[in-house]
Amino acid sequence: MVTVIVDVEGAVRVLRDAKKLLILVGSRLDGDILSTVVKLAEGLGAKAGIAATGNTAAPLREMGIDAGKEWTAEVVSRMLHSEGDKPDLLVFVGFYSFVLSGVLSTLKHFASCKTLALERRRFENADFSLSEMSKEAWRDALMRIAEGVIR
Amino acid sequence: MTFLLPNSRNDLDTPVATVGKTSVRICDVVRDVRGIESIVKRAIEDPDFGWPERRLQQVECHLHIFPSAKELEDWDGFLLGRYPPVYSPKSSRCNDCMLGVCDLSRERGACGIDLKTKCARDSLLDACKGASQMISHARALLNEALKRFGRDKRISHGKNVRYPSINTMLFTGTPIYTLGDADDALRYAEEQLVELLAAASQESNVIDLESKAFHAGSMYLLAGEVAELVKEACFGLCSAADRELVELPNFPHFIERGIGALDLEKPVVLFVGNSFLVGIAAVDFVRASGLEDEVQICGVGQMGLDLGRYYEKTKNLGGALKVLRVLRAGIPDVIVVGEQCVPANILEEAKKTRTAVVAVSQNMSMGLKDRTDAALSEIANALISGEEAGVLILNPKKAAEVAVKVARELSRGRKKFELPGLEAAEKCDGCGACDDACPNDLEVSAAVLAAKEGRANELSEIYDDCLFCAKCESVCIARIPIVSLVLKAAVDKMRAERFKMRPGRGTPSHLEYRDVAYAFGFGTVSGMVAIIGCGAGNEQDVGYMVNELVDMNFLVLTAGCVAADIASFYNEVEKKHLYEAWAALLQIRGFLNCGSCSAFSHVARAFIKYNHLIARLPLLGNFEEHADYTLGKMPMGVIIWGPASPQLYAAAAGFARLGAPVVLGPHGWKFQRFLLGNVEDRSKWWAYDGFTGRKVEVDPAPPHLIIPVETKEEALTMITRLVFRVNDFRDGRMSKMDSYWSFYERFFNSIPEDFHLYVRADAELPWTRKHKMIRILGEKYGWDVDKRRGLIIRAKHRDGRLLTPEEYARDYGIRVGQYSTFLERLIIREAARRGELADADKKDEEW
Ligand code: SF4
Ligand code: SF4
Repeated sequence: MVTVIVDVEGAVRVLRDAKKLLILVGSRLDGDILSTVVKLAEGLGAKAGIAATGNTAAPLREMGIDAGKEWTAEVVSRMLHSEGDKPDLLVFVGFYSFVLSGVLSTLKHFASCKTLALERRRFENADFSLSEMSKEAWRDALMRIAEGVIR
Repeated sequence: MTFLLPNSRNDLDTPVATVGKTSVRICDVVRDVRGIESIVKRAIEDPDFGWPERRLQQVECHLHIFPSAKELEDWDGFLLGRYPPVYSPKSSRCNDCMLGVCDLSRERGACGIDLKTKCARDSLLDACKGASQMISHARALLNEALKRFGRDKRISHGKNVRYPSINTMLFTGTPIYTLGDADDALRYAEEQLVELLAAASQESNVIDLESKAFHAGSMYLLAGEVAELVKEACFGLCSAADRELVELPNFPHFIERGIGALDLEKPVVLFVGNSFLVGIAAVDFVRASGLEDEVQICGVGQMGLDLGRYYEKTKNLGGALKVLRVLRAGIPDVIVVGEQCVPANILEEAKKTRTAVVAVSQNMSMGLKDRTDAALSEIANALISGEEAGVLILNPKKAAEVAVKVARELSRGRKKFELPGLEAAEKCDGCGACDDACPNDLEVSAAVLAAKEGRANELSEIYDDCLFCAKCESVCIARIPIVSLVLKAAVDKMRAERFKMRPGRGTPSHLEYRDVAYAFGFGTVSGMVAIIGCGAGNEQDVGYMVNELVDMNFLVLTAGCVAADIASFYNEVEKKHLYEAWAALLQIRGFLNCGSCSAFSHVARAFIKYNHLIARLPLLGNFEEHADYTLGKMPMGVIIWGPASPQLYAAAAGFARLGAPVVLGPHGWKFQRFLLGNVEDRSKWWAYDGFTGRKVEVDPAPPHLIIPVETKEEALTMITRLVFRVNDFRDGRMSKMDSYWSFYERFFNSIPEDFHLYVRADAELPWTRKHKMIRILGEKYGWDVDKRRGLIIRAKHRDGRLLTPEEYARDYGIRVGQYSTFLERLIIREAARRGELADADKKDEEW
């Protein structure tokens, strides 16, 4: 069952507890929120990687971030099949809900990693999820989470 | 002298099929020959579609005539081993039997199934639903044709169609020449469907279930082909089959698309769902009554395309998905509602604008009174007076006349675009329920709040991406008519929608195939891509993809509702909308609309036809060999754009089984089953050198069989990646690499991380990028290269060895020009290799 994260500290704890995590940047992200996510990844240091899904590789490169282009389905497939050093936490931000619902369902039922949805709505199939909020509140929450992991 | 092939068990006492000097016992080439002896014999001996003698000598001939799914398990098993299913279950709970409800997320259910098996059963059910809809469509048309013309009626395929009913022949071993043949073929599909449905609640193995889902997909394409043949041969839908090549670039006629094409003062009859027979009857009636300039015959979805192929004055009002847009605006005076792709609440919606409803299918009767036997004037009067909001009429001719008569009456003085003003947004408190409900993730509440403040712009922007499902409205506790507000804000846009489109013309012609076969076979054309589906929110997306692919020298086909979406895309270079910008040809710099969703079968037909044309593969009962060849050699792929419907699920399964990979977007994750390859697992990427029988490690091509993506740019890039084949010729590999790389760079400002896996020799690197690629191969992937001269000195094998080009060609991939296969039985026999078999007739020397 999903654990709904009601405060910024909850999200920060989940991110800090992960040994290795991958932040998947969804195709809806751009502008200042994308910068916040980069800040979040940087705050988490070497244990965090960024996977640029959708068309986000280009804006990330423009920001000087060499995040590899990834296909969400391939990331999911790797979590199911590949051996080796896999992330124990996948973090999703900026996805269309009709994409993320499906992705989280696959991971919940067939992969061993945990998932955290840093979206504007609650995703029942995530292990941890933010809940419904306005765009402004979401932007603010992401910013505070990014700051929280540095502290 | 008769030469008996080594796989023939005994002697010639049992019936044989003979080609030239070579014979096979027919009981050796099928699992059970009883009852199909003459079909099997002809399948081998037929001079056009049967076996060239040389080929018969070379490989183990094994036909599948009227096969069950199980009989094709060699191929299905290979595919599903390489591209195992990945599921995204709607729910982990199962309530399929009386022992449930069981939660399968942690343990097996009471009946013993686990979650994956449950998902696979759902997959089979979805594919069966899709297949059943197409089979039912084909059956309704065929039954009507049989009543009118009888079983012996010849089906003319036209002078430009050399290979009739290709989808069907691969499974039944018999071309369709008469309505009786069509009936036999469809009966086979119906029997298979019953078997598949029975398996959906019993079969317990994931691979077996998915193999059956594939089979449902094949039956979907077969039924689509029957439907198309009947529509063309018996009901007059236009087809390119009898046209000269010079006519084709402008064939078929243009029709108009969009509300702006209508005269809103005149009566409008709108056909929705599959109401084909009634639509044809309505056109006939309008023509016969001299009403062509008065009554406007319109269609959405399938009917917008099929009617367009029959009647040049048809107005296409877009995809089926968005019918509410037209209905809410009060555009039609009467809607004629058939089955499939019809919103369940269409009657309620029609009542809101007092649009009369004529239902014409017993599968979608909506609780309406069956007035088939009532007098025409009585029915019409009940609808005109409003005494009845709708009626069910199961006689196509009567339904057509009622619809036209009622529309003429109701249109008088009727106002269109009677929509609420922005003040209807006043009660919005910004709760956001509409945002959460929207399946397209649109920011609805912000637009409604803006309207509350008097701004319509945001609502007008919603119009561009809206699916017109009205989910937002249904959850709004303030009961704000959001869809109507969106339409009100976009009235000017709607009125301006007036584009030309070609409604579809069935199959590509033999002349077109021939014309481009050489380029296609040798790879100077990057590939052939079909874009099909219901369309998603933004209509521009599909046109954009078509335009990009045409620009990239792909052969592009389309079918289904997306064909109407394409019409609105404006090509800035040509300064024309898309159907006017490109020739209507299956050629470089052309694109072809085949028609409605039954015309997906023409796409499959085009794929198979090339196999026959280029490799002379036998067609009758020979599905596996075609699929093997498509996956190994032919650069074909499909993009399915739009929400996941059972029909598209079945179509995806049918194309994938045929070896044509499928990209799903952007609602593709709703398909819940994907077939993804694991590029990292080298053990999965092998093929047989078809000549020596050696199992060789090959490039991961194509890397996936069914994969969802999120954006149109991803779809374009992925499809260029999915047309790579292990058996590419040099130029083909070069042009594919160029397309893949150029989309990747343009859309993602990066280089493809996996490109080195597809590099076989420096001669295959696109000239314009060669030096950059060589440099990256050296610096990033550890290849031994000569950067200055642009040469690969030693290539790095995936196992880490540095190999000379010659060693690399031996140990990685299929040598250029060498025949390869994934099926052991299609390896060239040793005796044939040693030249110990009888000489084949001269005409068969091509093999
Ligand atoms: S659901 Fe209704 S009240 Fe709530 S934000 Fe949407 S339009 Fe406004
Ligand atoms: S009608 Fe349009 S805005 Fe409303 S829920 Fe459907 S897609 Fe979203």
